Amino acid sequence: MATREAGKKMIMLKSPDGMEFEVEEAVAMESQTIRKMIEDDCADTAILIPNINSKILSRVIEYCNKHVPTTGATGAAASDTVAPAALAEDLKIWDAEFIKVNRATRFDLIQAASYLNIKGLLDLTSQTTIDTISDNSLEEIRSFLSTKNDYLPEEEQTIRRENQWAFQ
Amino acid sequence: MPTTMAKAARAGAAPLRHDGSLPEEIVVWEILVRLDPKSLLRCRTVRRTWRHATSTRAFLLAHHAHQPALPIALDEEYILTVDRLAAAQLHTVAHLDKAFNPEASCDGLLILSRCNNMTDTIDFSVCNLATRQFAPLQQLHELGLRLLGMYSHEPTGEYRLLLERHSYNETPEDQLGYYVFALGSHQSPRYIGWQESTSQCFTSLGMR
Repeated sequence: MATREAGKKMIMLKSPDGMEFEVEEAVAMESQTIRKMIEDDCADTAILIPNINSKILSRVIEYCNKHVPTTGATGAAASDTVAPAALAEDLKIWDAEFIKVNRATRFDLIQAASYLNIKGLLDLTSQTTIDTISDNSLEEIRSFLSTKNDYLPEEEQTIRRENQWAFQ
Repeated sequence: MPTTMAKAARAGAAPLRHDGSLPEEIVVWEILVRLDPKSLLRCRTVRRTWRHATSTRAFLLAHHAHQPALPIALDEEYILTVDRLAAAQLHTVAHLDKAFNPEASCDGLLILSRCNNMTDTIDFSVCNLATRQFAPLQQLHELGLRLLGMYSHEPTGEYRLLLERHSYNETPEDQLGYYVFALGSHQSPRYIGWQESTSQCFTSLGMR
């Protein structure tokens, strides 16, 4: 175990509010944006994430730590004895807990996942928003996403009529 | 000195919003792109800018890439997809006028045909199910062509149709055979040959 720990390369992630997070390279590389920087050799041992504050960045790292392929993760020893299906089930429960946050935090996580290009986190964080959009009226969607209707009333009516099927 | 994400910053590392809203770019490219066709169609009525952004070719391809690949079925007036994973659930994806027949599909584009009683020919058109954009394929009219299939031609990025021209009215013998037509092209279908002896094998292919 000790030799494996010693072989791990660490990366420092810095948030714009001055916090530093030391993470394993494999964990940081869950982000395709960071992976590309490392592979293109434009990363030192410290990487400044210019637009994600420490509160959100720490949650993103928490997610990546949990989801990094088990061969390189801490606590990987357990995977030798636990069936893959059980692991997947465990991750699902963990994800469900992870996403129990308010709307503002969820929107922050969506933006962070998009910028850092972490597919799993994006799928997880956007799903609630997608469900909300699928189940609600146009007015509710606008209010949920704090967006304004820029159609003229008659214009909206015409488009609604053209696509009546979608409103049934 | 830590490496800054200068390159990435130029590509749009805007500070996160904390006002309970999402940037429109994120809404379009991370949220709308993952919606099912019916919800997407409704969302095009939420905001004019959404409608505009979801009409581009780049969006159509991205949206289609997120959709599950499912068999298509036809039920009277509705086009359905069969979701085998979800216990053979049927999803309605489009409402169709009875006069149209779906002929082939590829990457979310659907080829429809309709008998034209005036000219006694078959009119083909192409339809994008996600946005209900629709265009007639006029180059195929009045040629007595039968559609055999649709495919994506990787080297050119074109969607192409394989067609068969069979004996029709006074079609000259040397024009009978197979043709290829690229969607969006202004040219007539291109003749690619005719193999008399194997024609029976090809004509028995159903494309529904």
